[in-house]
Amino acid sequence: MVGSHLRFPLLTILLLTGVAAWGQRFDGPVHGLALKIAAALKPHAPVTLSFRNVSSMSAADAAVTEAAIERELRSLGLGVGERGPEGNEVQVTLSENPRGFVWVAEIRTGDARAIAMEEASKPPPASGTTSTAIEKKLVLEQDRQILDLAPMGRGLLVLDSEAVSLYESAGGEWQRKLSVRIPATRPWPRDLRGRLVTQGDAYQAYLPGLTCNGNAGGGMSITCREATLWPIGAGPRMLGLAQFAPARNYFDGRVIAPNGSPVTVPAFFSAAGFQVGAAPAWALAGVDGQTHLYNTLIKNSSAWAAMGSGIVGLESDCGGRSQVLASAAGDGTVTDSVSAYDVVDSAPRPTGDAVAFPGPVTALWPAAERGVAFAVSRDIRSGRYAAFRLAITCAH
Amino acid sequence: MQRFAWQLPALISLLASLTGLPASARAETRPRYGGRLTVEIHDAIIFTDLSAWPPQLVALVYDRLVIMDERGEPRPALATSWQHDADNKRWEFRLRPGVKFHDSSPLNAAAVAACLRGWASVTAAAEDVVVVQTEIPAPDLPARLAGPGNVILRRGADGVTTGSGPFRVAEWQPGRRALLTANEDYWGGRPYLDGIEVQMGRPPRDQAIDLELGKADLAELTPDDARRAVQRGARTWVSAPAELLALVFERGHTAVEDARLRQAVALSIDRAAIHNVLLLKQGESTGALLPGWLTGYAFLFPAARDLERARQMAASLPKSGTRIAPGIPGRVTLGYDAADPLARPIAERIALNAREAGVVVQVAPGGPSDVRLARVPLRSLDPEQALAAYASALGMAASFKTPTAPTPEARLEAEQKLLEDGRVVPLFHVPQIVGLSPRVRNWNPEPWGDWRLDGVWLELRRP
Repeated sequence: MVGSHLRFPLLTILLLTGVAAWGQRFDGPVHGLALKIAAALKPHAPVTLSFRNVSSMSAADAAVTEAAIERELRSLGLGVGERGPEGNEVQVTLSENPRGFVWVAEIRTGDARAIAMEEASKPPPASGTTSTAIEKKLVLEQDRQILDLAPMGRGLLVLDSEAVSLYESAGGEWQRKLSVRIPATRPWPRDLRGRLVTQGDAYQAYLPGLTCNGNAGGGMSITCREATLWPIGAGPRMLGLAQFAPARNYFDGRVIAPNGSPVTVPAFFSAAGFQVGAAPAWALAGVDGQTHLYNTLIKNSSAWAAMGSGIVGLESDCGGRSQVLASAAGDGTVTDSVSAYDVVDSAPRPTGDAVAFPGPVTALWPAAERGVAFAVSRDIRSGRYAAFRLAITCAH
Repeated sequence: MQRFAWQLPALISLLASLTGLPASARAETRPRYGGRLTVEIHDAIIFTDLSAWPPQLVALVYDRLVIMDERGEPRPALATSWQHDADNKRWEFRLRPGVKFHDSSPLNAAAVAACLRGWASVTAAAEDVVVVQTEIPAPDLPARLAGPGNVILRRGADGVTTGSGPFRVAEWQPGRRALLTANEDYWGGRPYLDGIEVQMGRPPRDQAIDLELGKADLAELTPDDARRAVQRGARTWVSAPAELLALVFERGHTAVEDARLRQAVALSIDRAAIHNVLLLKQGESTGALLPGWLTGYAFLFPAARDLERARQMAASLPKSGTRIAPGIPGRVTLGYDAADPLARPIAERIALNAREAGVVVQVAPGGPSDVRLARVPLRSLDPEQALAAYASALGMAASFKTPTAPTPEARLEAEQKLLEDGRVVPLFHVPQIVGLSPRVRNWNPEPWGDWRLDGVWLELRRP
């Protein structure tokens, strides 16, 4: 009963909010169309008005639009709903084209027919989801492809396809304070990837064929050189350094372990470290479409097989203390998700709900902070990139 | 970290001594470089005649200064930015630095100016700045430059052209086969594919079979083949209805000079039946040149059959061979593309409809005819540019007047003007239907049919 009492005001508020948002978008086009219709008719003419909606506009928005057009015509003095000797008829079609909505009025006066049209822009698509086992928080959104990000003091350092930028929080939003352009000497490969590592005010940015060092304290500096070794993993899950193919989107399989020993593994997109008992083990998302496992005798697991090519290993205080985050299988044309797996006895067990993204996850890197990773997704509708902080939560 | 370092030798020895212990195969998500895509198309194109290239292939080899996004808005391509004066007559385009043609020559302002010299005035103001000067205001100039006819190329003395696009032409057998290889230095990033083999002049039925046998990765399908492919569980893709099917009454042909005859034929056509039976409900019937999804007002152009009025029109014609009368042979010939499997049944149905109205129409594949069934692809996402391209392709260039204002009413008026003499009768907007092999990934074409193969990648063939 309490619920039903609450529901009505909530619904009213939602409707009022919706109408207010509608008004901001469509007030102008409604007025414009009404003026054109009125201009085609005699002042105070009686007119019958009808509508049809052939666009993607929702029935609710269409109803609001129709009511607004009718109200506007009345305010211009037309006798809407009245029949006169001239038999004035106006049929308004709510249509659309790639640029927005198109409202077409066919105005019939006797045998004469006139057309009036007005265009109205569409609202941008909305996105956003929630999660349970993984806490997902939007950090930053921009048009340029975000490759990686890292906290730097109270700021945020962001590596994107063109620059390294330092953001500072102002009024709850990140605002760009400093930026330095990456001196790229050749076009980036498609499916560009990059990695950012910070220590104090210093940073290293790893890009295909290029490694840049810089400092963000008291100004931004950058010095780049041709290099192909990238760090793999982070903190206790550091596998070592791996050669990143300079004109591609993968590691070519040549790895240098932390003690300097060279190792060759199949080419891979990403790597996740996890625990087998007390020993470290690794899963590599191979370019060949296989998940290659090391330091574990497990050969086959449907959960490993279901993972996409973005995997990252994390440590937390939850479950088996060893988690893997993995993107889903798919390609650049579909929405994506990241799932958490609790690795127990070498087998990843899905835990909690996957968190959804409005497009493919283009980057998934471990953060220096325990139990945290950063994910970047490209919205398939808007084309914008959004970076999220993903933290393993121990909610039950 | 200490613990990990201590155990590392064991890990290294495992890494060194074992090959990976592979888990079961899984779907890939990150794009994979490599492989050759085999594409089959119906058109038999000639390298030097760019206008004959299907629009979805032009962008593989050639770039434009500007491209259109899915909302029909211009976006940077070879030009990274542009600005204009207050009158919209002087436009300055800044070029992307470092871009080269496939022959390694620089794509600079001089090269662009030489390529666009058909325009009123195009000059190189600096190494990377091109200035276009028009006599009348041209607020839509970026959209015009985004049309497929305005690709930037270098034309050699032999007429052979060089582009700067994501693929370069490695081999060309005119009308039969083309081999395109990845442009390693492409400014937009090297394509994922190593190459694309284009098999040209392939009959639709053969394409469907090759797709089924795994000989083709991408094939154009007829509605009928697409239905069979879907029944088999094969992958298909249908674009927005972007190709126009229209009747074109030829000028100077006495049999079709009387407007009443043209109107009688137009009013007699039962588009709904053709759409349902022959097109299997793919696309849409139309009375407009521009598709409804592009303008939002195509429904204003009548497309319904009115047999009574058609009969009245035919009856008002002077008695001649074009009217049905015992013993008098038909004189209106309707031509169609014999290689288009849809064209013949549609032409025959139109002839049948016309006879019901009292007009004799004889169908004739190829060759000269009084009226022809034309199929014209959409050439631009900008409605005005698309209209101009249709006018040109359908022999109405002289009748085309650029809309007086960038308003939907002005565009509607320009389109109505083109159709008022009844020489062109729009019939249908039909989609491209494409069949895809399972290994094609990142298939993300533009809704209107640009395949965007530079972003496609291939899944590994598995044994």
